[in-house]
Amino acid sequence: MRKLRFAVAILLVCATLSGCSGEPLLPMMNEIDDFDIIQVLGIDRSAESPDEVEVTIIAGKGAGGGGESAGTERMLEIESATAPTVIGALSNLNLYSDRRHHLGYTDFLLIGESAAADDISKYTDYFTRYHETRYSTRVFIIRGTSAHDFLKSTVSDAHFVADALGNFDETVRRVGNTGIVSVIDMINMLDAPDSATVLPALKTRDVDDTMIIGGEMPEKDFAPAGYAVLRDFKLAGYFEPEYSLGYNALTGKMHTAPLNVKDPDGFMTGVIVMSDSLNLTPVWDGDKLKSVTIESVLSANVGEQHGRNDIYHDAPLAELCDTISADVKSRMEKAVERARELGVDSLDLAERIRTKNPVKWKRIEGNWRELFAQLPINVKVTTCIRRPYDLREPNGFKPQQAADKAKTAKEKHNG
Amino acid sequence: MQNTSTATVPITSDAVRARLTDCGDAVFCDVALTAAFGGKLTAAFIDGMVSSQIVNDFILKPLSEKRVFAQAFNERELLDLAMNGEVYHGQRKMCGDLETAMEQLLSGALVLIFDGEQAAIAYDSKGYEKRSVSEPTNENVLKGSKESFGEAMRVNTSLVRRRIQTDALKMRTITLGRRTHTSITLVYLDGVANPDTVTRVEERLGSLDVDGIVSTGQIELQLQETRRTIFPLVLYTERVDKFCGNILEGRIGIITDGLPVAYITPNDLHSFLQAPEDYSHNKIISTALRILRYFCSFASLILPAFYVSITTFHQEMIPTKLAVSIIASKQGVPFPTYMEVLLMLLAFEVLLEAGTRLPQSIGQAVSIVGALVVGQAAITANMLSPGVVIVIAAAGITGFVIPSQDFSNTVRLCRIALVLLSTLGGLFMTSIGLIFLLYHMCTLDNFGTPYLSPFVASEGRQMFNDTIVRRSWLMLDERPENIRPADKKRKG
Repeated sequence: MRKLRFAVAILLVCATLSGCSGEPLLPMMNEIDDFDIIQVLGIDRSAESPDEVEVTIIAGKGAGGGGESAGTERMLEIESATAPTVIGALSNLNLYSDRRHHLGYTDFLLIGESAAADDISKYTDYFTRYHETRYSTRVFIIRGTSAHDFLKSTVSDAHFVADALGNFDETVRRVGNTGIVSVIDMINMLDAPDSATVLPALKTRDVDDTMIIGGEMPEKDFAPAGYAVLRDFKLAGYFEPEYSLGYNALTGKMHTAPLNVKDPDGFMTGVIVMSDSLNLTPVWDGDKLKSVTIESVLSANVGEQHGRNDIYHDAPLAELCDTISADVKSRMEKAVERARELGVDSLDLAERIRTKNPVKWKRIEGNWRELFAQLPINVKVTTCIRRPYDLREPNGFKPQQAADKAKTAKEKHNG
Repeated sequence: MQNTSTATVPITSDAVRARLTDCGDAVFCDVALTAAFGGKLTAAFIDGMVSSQIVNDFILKPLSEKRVFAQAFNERELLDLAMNGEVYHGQRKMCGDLETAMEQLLSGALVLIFDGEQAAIAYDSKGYEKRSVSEPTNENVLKGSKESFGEAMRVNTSLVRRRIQTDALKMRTITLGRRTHTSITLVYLDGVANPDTVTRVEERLGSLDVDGIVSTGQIELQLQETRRTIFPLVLYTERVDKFCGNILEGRIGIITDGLPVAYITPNDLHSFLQAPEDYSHNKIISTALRILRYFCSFASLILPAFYVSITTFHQEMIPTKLAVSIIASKQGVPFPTYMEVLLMLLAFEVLLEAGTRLPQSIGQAVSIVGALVVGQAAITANMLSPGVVIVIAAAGITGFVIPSQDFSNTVRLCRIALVLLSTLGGLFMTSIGLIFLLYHMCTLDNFGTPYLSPFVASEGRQMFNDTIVRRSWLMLDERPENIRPADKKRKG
């Protein structure tokens, strides 16, 4: 046993330290500071040679250090290269860099509109295949411009787009008019033959009214620009931001969303809407799909009230709930209409119907696109107000007047 | 050889004087008797090892003043009188040969030599200076006893006896060391401790053939059945309450004359991660502290190697913001990460060693200078990156949570080995190192107790019986099975 252990130890040492083999058994050592961390990567169809791919990266340079330079801001460098493939363009970028680019940290993949309109799989296959990138990388379509121009115009020393996108990533759940899609989600969508690939879109916006004290503001900032809808791997159009909340509500991607509605007295009220449940029910007539009913149950919190009446009674609250439901329903119906206009199932109905009735789905899957164009989609929304946040009456509240109004409202509600 | 030859030598004052030639502390005192036959006795003792009050008042005084001694007709009669209670001393022993007489004399007895009869009586009159019972210095507790063992063995045994007042508490004394004749006492609870283990421990100690027992390492090594390991197998303590607690569990204690620590065996890994206060706190708090200790031990072992691995081989594992921060802090540092880590570990060990050896006041200064030089100046001069300093400091501090210094030393050595492995192949080689450590620990066994029991080799029994989870006193109804106690049931 002792000899065996000794032999194993010797073999291990030989295997790990041997310089004879061209391929070392153990992985190669790389110091972390030999890498440039690439957090944001943009991909475009090359403007000069449309058959080529243009890759743009932002690399950090000359970062602080522990000594005299500790705490200094790092410099950013925007680099781009073109090649027939993404991997070729990345290799070209590495050729001219003093440090190796590490794509393991790429959190955001920005795809220019021209690339999305060409054939998105051509530009994203590298990210679905190569081991260095992560499947959790967020994907965005850059609306109206190229990813290169987007990065160039939205980056400054004081405004790093990766940080801003990171913050956007965290706050998007509270906004409601956009969403988050990772590479793995995109792969799943691209693999679904009957559904569209829907990716969140960003656009640049002017920063005339914004300034950074002590730093240089970039030329432009960015803002959500709804969703880009890809049909057969090509950009078909967009869900405008005003349809995006409806799209999120229809597809179960709405976590919370702010909504402005009028209270029973006609004053503006700000509510936070949350999706409690979403149910899709296909209605079949034998093997024929007659219609689809989407039922959404929402809960809402009243965050702001401009009126001075006490609305926290059954009747006014019920009326406010109806108003919220009607608003959300309207947005959802507009999203359905927009999906029909785009001519592709961008609401992920196919997959949900297939999951509910896999046998019946087999009989309709061949002509789903035509069926979707004419399929009646009924939307039902129910809302329940959970919290008013503040139990006291609003400023300027008049009890007698409120009692009279409540009585009237109750009579009106009871019919 | 010495024993054989001296056994035949008659006990006379001349023989004893001859053996103690050039021994300035040996005192020979002729006791003139008023007996009719005009005999003379010789009292011999070692100055400083006997109590002068006992010698004068209870031994010499009655010999000189009592009438019965004056009326004796011969030395034989004197010997009988002295042996049968006319001298006011309870602990007396007739020495049949010169060697026995010499042993008694050198261990602090007054030996009364009857030249005519070629016999001697040894009166135990130990009275040497010894340190009083003091507070533990290395195992302090907030709640609990403040008594610790001292150097005098009989004081130590009395401290144990005072806590466990039962005739089942056995104390077998053996003498070791050809030259030092050091007394060692095996303490165990009869009917509770495994008799086979007691015999094995006694045999192992008995087989120790050295000139003298002067350090703890000699006893410790003899109590290890497996010697090719850096893991401690024998637990030592200076706390009497901890010692007694282990005796009550069925373990065997070893008290050595001249050493202010006692040994406990057999042990498992968990014994080295227990603190004396575990049984003083609320069970939930104790459990949380034990979990913390296990976590910290592992963290102390793995942190430097893990840092080297993830910064040089598996960079993708680091969250983006942390990676950016590490890269920024490493700018301009000339050494590769593994070299930084090894240098820092070396510096840490040097500081630790310097702080241990120096007097307390200077030791603190060394710590401050070390922290400033290593921590601040090295970073400012871009010699080291702050990340490395933080990791090594974290590894060091978590290592201090380990209650056993022996186990802590093992962890310190192993973490350097793991760092070396991690430089070869990152987490892959680190994992191989950890697997080897685990394998090695699985092979360890001392007096029939597997080192990793009850987590392994117990088929899951008692896995949570006072191990990581400290159960309530009321629920502690079984002694640890891995030490194979004679009586498995206990109460509290």
